[in-house]
Amino acid sequence: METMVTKKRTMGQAKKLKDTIFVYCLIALPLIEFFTIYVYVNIDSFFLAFQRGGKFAGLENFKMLWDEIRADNSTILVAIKNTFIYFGADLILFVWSIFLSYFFYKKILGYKFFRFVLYIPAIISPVVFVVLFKNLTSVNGAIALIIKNFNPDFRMPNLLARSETATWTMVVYVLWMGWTKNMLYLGGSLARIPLEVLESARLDGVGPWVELTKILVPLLLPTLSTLLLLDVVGILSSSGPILLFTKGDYNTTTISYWMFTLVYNTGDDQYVKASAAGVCLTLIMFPVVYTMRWLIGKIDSIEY
Amino acid sequence: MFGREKEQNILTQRDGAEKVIFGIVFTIISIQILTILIPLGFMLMNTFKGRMEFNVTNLWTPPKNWLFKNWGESFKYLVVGDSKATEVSFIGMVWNSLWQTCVRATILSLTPMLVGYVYARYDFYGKKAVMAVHLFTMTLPLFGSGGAYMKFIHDVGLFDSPLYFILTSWNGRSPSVFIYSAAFTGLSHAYKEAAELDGASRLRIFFSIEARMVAPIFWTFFINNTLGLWNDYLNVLLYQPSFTNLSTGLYLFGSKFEKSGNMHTPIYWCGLIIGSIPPLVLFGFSSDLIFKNMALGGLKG
Repeated sequence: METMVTKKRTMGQAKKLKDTIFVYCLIALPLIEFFTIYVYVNIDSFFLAFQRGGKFAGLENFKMLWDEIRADNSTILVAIKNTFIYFGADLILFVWSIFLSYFFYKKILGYKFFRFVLYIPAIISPVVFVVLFKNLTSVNGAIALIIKNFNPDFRMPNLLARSETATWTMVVYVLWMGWTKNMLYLGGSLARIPLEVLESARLDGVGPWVELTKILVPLLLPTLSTLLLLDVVGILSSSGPILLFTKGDYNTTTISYWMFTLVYNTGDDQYVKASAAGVCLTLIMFPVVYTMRWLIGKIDSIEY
Repeated sequence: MFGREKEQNILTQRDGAEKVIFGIVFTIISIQILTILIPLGFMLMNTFKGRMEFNVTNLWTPPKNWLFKNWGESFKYLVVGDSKATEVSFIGMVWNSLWQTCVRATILSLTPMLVGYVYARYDFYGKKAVMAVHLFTMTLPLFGSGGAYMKFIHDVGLFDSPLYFILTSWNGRSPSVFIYSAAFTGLSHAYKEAAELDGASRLRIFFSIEARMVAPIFWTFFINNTLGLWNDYLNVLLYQPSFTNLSTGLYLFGSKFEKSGNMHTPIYWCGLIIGSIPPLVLFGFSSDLIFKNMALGGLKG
């Protein structure tokens, strides 16, 4: 009897070993990608933050960053301010996408066509819409012409070439083009909610506002909280298509665009600055993200 | 269970006040739709203008002579590159977009499937550790590794090499791993066990049986990835300057002539529209599949 059990256990272990070999062969390439592009690159980035010219430089890069922050007209401060403006726009779109998903879920007249057209900005190159938007908002552009029809004295300012208006003009673009943000996920999650819930609400005489805010949103909380967490994780990546619009001129840079300029067509001296900034930003964002995760963990998920 | 008709009734029946709210929202969405479609329509109309005519007329004026030849000219006119040696033609850009998108979309859709499969179907040594690290890294807010990544790409010889697209796409850390994992967990073990009894290898069971059963999910991700990658201009701009794709090429072409003001804009716009046709067609044919199958945390297999 004991021999049988031992034999069975040995066979089980042999099978597990064979399974393990198969599994690691199957995911060998993703594992290599993980250890090189994720682990190695991030560790190297950390060490780069303390180097200059290939040699250990202590906190020199951080001092350089601090000096840049304290300088008059600091690009970094402008980038931080703009990043939070774009994050604000993201949050507006986040809330709006919940409303929009609700109306599509309730099959508003023409919803299939609306959904298709609203997705167009997400599926064709942003270059197309940026070119179009630039033309529409230019000094002699289409919008200026329409306004001049009503007010011949109107003179359109060059919105994208003035520090006071450039970022806000791009924010308008982001809000114009971003209606479908998260709608794919929200639409899918709404579709999985049992219709019995809506039917009983209807019998109780519930209107659309209560239906959305008191019934559907609580049922969507697991999805919404995950999407919000992902938004918070990516808070410092919030940006508009700066490269396509202004290339960071007219005080339009954001953190992610500033990081991009440190890497695009530059050299090691700029890479170390990006790494030093990365270490600082990671230290700032760590507690924010993990507090958010902890708060989200407190939300009871509803099974349906 | 709800019948289709009953489902239709619950979602579409509205009383008086509801009808008003839906009417207002319908109007708002219609206006938004028009703000997208009308400029696109006028953009299309302006592609038929001559260069001078475009410069002296406004966007709303129709062309005097409809120059259909602009569309053919765009294939000759839209060339990017600093020298003859590095020059990429419009056809070259289309080709680069095609192969880069196909290679990357296939690998990026397959990799989460492989990882999701082993999570769902195998009990292997180190599984708990691998899954814990995976979950941890998904929400780890790491920033600023762009410099180190660029250095790495140069060091390993992937800068300006087509291998870059193949070797850097094996990303198994995306949340879609868990969507695949949930789908594989929901599959019956019967087919796998029957195949095992018939002596099929693990690899054969995966590719011939189990992967086929989650094919709708694979195609959903493949189409999604294709739509995103077709428009990707940053990866090429940063790491693959010699393999200019359509999105990057049209950006470079536009920014080169923007300052000089010496551009044949109607022909440039022809290029922009031609580059938009493949994703539009793909989305037109597959939007139902995408909307039906996609849901965070669970796709219908």
